Amino acid sequence: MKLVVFILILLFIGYNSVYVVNEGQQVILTQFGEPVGTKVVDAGLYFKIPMIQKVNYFDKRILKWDGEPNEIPTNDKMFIWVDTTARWKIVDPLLFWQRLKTMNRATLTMDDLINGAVRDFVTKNNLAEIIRSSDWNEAYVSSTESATRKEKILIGRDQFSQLVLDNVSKITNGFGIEILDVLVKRVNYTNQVREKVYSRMISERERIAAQKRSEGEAKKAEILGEMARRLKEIQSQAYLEAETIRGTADAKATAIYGKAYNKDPEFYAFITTLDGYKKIIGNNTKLIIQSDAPLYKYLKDFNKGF
Amino acid sequence: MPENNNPWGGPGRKPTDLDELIQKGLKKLFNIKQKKPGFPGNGGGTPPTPSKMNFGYLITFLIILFLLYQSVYQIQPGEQGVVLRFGQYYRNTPPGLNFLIPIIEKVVKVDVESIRKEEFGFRKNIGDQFTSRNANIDLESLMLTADKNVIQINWVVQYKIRDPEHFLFNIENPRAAVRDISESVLRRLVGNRDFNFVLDNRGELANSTQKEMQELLNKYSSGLQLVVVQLLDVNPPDPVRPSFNDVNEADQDKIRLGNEAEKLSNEKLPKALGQAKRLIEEAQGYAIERTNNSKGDVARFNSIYKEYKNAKKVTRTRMYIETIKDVFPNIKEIIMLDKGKGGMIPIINFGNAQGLDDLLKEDTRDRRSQTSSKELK
Repeated sequence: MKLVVFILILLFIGYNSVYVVNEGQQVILTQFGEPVGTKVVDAGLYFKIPMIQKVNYFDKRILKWDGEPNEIPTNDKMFIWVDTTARWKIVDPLLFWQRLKTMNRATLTMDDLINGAVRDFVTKNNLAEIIRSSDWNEAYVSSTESATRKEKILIGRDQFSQLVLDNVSKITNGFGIEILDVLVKRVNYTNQVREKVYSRMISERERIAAQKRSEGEAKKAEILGEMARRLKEIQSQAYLEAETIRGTADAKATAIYGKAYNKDPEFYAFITTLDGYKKIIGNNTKLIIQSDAPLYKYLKDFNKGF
Repeated sequence: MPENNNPWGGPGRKPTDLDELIQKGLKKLFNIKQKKPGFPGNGGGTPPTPSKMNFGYLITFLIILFLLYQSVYQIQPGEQGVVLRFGQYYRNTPPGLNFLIPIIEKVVKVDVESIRKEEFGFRKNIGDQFTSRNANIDLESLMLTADKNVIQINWVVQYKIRDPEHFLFNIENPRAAVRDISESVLRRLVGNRDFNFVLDNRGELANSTQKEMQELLNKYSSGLQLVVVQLLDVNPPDPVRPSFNDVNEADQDKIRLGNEAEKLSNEKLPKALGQAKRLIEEAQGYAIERTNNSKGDVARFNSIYKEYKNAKKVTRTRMYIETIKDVFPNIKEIIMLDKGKGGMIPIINFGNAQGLDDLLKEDTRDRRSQTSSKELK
């Protein structure tokens, strides 16, 4: 019976004198609440004084800090929601244990520090600094819209993250925490501002639409004008050519006639008159002849002859 | 599912196993103890009865069986096993049947083939753990552009596990990290670009996002590999969308107005060109006709004139009379005016053409035979 109890005690002590550190964990040993030895950061099997020493596990992985969105006015009086997130890890579990004890307190401390730094920065800077980053360049500008694009970026979002990180790190280093980065997850207008921005965007679009329609009308007018010009051009050119051709032909004919008829103008006049009669006198015509007309003479002679 | 393999649910699992082991050990001890009182009077050297022997063997056999069972594990295709010895990373094991030392070693199975998907600005799967944040989904997709406009982007990030060890032990909640990094990177890049630039350059934006996200994931040694970052909807926010559509319509209107004018122009100009050609052709026709006519007229004149020269007086008279003969049948009435008196002379009313014909026939005959005419006189 004694042997059994002895073995039981031995087993209990044996079990109590080893501990396992998993990957992603680190450990601080405490003796009656006082930390002893250095931190254990590598995973594996370790020994400790049973009963007396206690194992305190800490996370070694990169942890996530997620802030609540804050409503902050910018320097140019735009109200925006800023939502930040950070990656951090416990680099000195001893310090962490001494100063913060729990993860919950660590999170609360970071809330205060990061939110404060973000608020400071946002209120001191214009909106553009928070939206754009230092690697912004002209290539990202598209032709239209506001004059705001000419604003020079002095700091930019990435530098802003870095500044917040630097500021906060100064303090958190003393807590055994390393903050890896502070990321601005979201920046959005507050509802009221957003409505106004929407109205501005709508008015901008309306302006562009009006301009495009007007350009369309202009194009149409231009094309129709050109068409009218071309029509006149074509018609007058054709008229010019046609009349020139006719004129040339008339001149040629005149020359031909002139040359021939000049041989005996009087005879020409005679036969032309005869031709004229044939053409002038149609059916059922009433002919009025003066007594000195040649025709009368012939008619009279006929009468005499009868 | 990766969550099943998530090791953070149980960092204390190893001690639990040890507990079990101890309990089993104790049980064994008690069994031995119970055996001993079984043979009090027989002296120490007496062997146990066969039935009690069998019971002891059975226990031992069961324990060995249990340990064997614990030492064999199977890795499914597409998975990798991460073996930990005393909590420390020891090795990766490939798909198939694998062995480990029970109690001392543990294995975590990680699915390295399936592609995981994170959705932003929308949720396809109801019942997803993020659905409870429905009110925030809209905010998730709204972001500010460099020209201080608001744009709405829905996107999807697909990724898989490249390094199971890193995935398991380097970063808390890798899925949340992917989400945070994705939102932050895409917003940063959109913040650098003008509204229209974002609308027009989705591909470039997606590529840049993927590149920058991967850099951050590598920086954290997350063990994650992005497969693709896909921008699904890139749109103006709902209240603004009608005015954007109106701009598109205005674009169409602009083109339409131009086309209408072109249509009219195309209708009229070729026709006018044709008409112009016609006018010129007609003029040329006129020219040819005029020239030919004049040549014809002149030819006729010349012919007549040639003969006329030989007998001027007689020819003139003949021609005159011939003409009258041609013309008179058509005349209904002739009124003669005496120049001297100024009044009307009594009319010769031919009454009908017959009379005139007769008269003219008479005359023709007259001219044909001069002699008969003289006789009449």
